[in-house]
Amino acid sequence: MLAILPQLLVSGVLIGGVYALLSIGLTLIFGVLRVVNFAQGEFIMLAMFGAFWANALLGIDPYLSAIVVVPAIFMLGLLVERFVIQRILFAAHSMQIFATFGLSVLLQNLALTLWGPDYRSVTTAYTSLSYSFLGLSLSATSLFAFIAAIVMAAGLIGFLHFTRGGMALRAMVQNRYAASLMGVDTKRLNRLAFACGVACAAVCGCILTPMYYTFPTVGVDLIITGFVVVVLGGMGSVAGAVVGGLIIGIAQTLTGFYLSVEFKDVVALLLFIVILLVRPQGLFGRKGAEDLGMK
Amino acid sequence: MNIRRALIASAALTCLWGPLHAQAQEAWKIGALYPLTGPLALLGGENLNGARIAVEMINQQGGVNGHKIELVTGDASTPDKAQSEAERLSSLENLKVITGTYSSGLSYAASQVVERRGGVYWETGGISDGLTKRGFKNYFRIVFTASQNGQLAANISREVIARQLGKDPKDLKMMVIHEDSDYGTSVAAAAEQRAKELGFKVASRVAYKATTTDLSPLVLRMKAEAPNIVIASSYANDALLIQRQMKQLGVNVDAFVGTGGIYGLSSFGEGLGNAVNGIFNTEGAATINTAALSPESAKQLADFKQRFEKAYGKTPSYVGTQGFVGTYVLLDNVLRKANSLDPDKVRAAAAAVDIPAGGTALGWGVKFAGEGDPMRGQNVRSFPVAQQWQGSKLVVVSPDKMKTASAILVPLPAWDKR
Repeated sequence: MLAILPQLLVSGVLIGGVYALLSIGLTLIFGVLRVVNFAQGEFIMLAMFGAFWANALLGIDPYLSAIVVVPAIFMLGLLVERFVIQRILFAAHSMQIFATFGLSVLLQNLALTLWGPDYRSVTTAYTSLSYSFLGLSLSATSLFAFIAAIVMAAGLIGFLHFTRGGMALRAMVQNRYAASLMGVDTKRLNRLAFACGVACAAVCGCILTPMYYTFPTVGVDLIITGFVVVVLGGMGSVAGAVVGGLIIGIAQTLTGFYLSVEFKDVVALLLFIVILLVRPQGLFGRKGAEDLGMK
Repeated sequence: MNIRRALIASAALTCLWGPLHAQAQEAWKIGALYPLTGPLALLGGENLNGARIAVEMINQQGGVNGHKIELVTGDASTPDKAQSEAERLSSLENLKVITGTYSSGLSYAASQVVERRGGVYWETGGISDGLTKRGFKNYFRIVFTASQNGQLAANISREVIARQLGKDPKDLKMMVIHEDSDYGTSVAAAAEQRAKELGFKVASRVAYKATTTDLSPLVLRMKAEAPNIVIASSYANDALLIQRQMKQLGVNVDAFVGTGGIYGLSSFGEGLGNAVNGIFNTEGAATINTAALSPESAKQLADFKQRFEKAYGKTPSYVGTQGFVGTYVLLDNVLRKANSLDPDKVRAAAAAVDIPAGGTALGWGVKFAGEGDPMRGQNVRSFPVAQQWQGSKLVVVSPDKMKTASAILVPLPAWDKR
């Protein structure tokens, strides 16, 4: 039973990359806007449909379709920020939850009306491909997802720390009023941050299309682990999302094999509760992050 | 101006005259509760579409004793919603006969309301055994049970798979995997029990969540246990994950048996390409050998398939066909005889139905277990058949008189040769 441990770790790390990919956009939106976007899964779903149709109608590879799908979802993000998020930015948490949850139901049913409930899939040369390495097998699609997560996280961290726009964003997160007094256009930055967050969901959707069926409620199944990862890593921390994703991935794979497959999804939620009790700000989060910048 | 006025007048007259003329008899309204939004929408919608074709065919033949049939639909997307929609159809719409539900969990919730309100519930999809163990007097189920389906998976493991492998069940290791809802659990438990009775070495039965995003722990367990035969009850993405991760992790088995649902859908074949060939599936079949049907049933099946394709642009799966068969029997055999929507008369007519095997488009007969029977309301003449993916299509491989092809690809070729 121990001989299989290296393979379990590899599989755990790879699926952890998928979880990180699911969480990065979510944590970015929370970090900047302090809004939990319950419709994040639906943006992933929309991107999956985009990649699916690009493949079905035009024969474009789902990864390549990101060139069109991501900007489209980015534009949709700008619109959604303008007409939904901006209006609830300073509202009570319950209002924010209702608004983004309502958006999620709306998008699900929009997809149901437009494209029907069928399970659609994209089959490419690499959908069930795997690479052998030292007797271990690495699923190609998970490996690509893992790489995409690392690149995306590194890009975002670089942007936040080394560019003018990134610094303005961080200044705004620290103190919204002081930042606006220093000439930071907070309205524009909010819109940009939200659109970037859902664009991350779009990248994720394009990368996951060759792995899973595409259907109107697929986002719900996918995003649950994303929420756990964001809380574990620290809400608002991009690095935390990557580390959190890896921890959950490995924990689930090990418990799934040694304990019980049914129990593996419970483990993620158990971790979730323990974190909330022991370290509510998450691994990389700062204490009081939920109120930061709102005063 | 005069011409225009005359046109309007004649149009108005036609509008008035049309319905008056057609409705020699008052239309009969029947409730139809299916999940039409949410995660169960695909098969719920297909089940209802089958029912709609049955209504269309009956109405074209002049309706039931002159009454046109109208389906009043309700969206039972969750058990809560099923309950409130059943309440709405029973009380607000005052419907006495309600059909549904595709999913067992939804059927439990909806039928409880209808039974309490004294209406008849006509189930054309839910297979959980427990549905007909409640002793409800007005609950009738046309389809087979989860136990029957699980048992068939074990039976073909002996009669088809073990035989073709040239081995005795006691030399074959089996693993049963299933999603952990009522559906997966009851099918898998029946399969496991039957497999043990038949002498298979059942290494383990493993449950998992259907909404999971990764099944590599399950597949690695499969690798460690190295079963010859795997029986699986799955939902959607989980089925795709199992096959793809088996390939990625190099897990080869002699045979893989799915138990209905996703394993019988064209999307399963599309998701796997050629790798789907050789996988078995147990449930009812619209592709049954028509020699096993009465001539009228064979004609009806062909007519149904043609209409379904025309209306919805795809060939009907088993789920659509069960909706058709169930609803057709309700209209043609029960309501026609009851000549009323009064629940007492409908129940009496249902109890008297006696259709021999081959008398419906799925090859089933119809005879309901009566009062005092532990499975009261269950159609004792319905059954699943064993199918296999061949040439990216499902064919029936057992029982002999219903099959359209013989089983092939036993043992399954290793992944690198598929």
